[in-house]
Amino acid sequence: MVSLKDFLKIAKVNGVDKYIFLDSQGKIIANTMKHPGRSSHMVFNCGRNISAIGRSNLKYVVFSKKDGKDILIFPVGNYTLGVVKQQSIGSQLVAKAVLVFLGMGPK
Amino acid sequence: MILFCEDCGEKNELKKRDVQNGHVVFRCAFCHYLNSYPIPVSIKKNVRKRDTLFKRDNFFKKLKTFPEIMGAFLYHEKIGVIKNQMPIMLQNEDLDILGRYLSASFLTGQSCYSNIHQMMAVISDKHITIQRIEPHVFILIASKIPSLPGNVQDLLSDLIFDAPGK
Repeated sequence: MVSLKDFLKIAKVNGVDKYIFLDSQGKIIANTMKHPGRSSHMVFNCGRNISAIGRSNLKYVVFSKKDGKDILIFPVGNYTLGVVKQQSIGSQLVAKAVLVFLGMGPK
Repeated sequence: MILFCEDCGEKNELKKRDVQNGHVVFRCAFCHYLNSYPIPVSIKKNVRKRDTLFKRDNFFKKLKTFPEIMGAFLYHEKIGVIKNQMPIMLQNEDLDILGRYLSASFLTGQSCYSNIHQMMAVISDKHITIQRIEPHVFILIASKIPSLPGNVQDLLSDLIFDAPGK
């Protein structure tokens, strides 16, 4: 798992357009979102909700949007990462790249 | 659909296409009287409900032919699981919890971004896709692969388009 200070590098991961990183209480630690308040509400609540059923087996969640700017949510220990993907790239490629960045995916 | 002739009272079996804008127009097969009258809403609703059920059954049957698909079920926000074609190891209670949490997350997402139309959660090596097909009904599909096959997406689109209330 990457350290907190390295997290800003998430913006350079292939396919990542914007991101938001939340602590265990839903407080924003870092973000580049257009509407951080709305995004943090969604990412925190959905992440917590789905983690309740998936527990440690939850890898990620994808919300498909009609404009192609899908939102991906990753549980990172007690933290939650939300990512908006670029329109031109598939969600699965972004998910794989982010999991590798987090040290949770195949190299 | 069976409707009665206003003139001779005989039963006439009609097709859905004979009903337009809540009106039925048909010539009686027995006395040739030209009938034209509005049909009660309940009949229209029953016809629509029957069609919806038929389409759902058909969808679930077709879903079985895709080896990538592990199973699927329908979850109603108020009633719970209303159709189940998931592997037998999962009890209705498990599906109920799955449906409740995933539909709540889907709705939370949609309340923030109205153009969200589908959600997929990756838990272990399973992929669970959820989509709303009616105001209170969600379909949940478990698959071995992250993206639903194109044919399944097409079938799903048909199911949503035809759903009443849309």
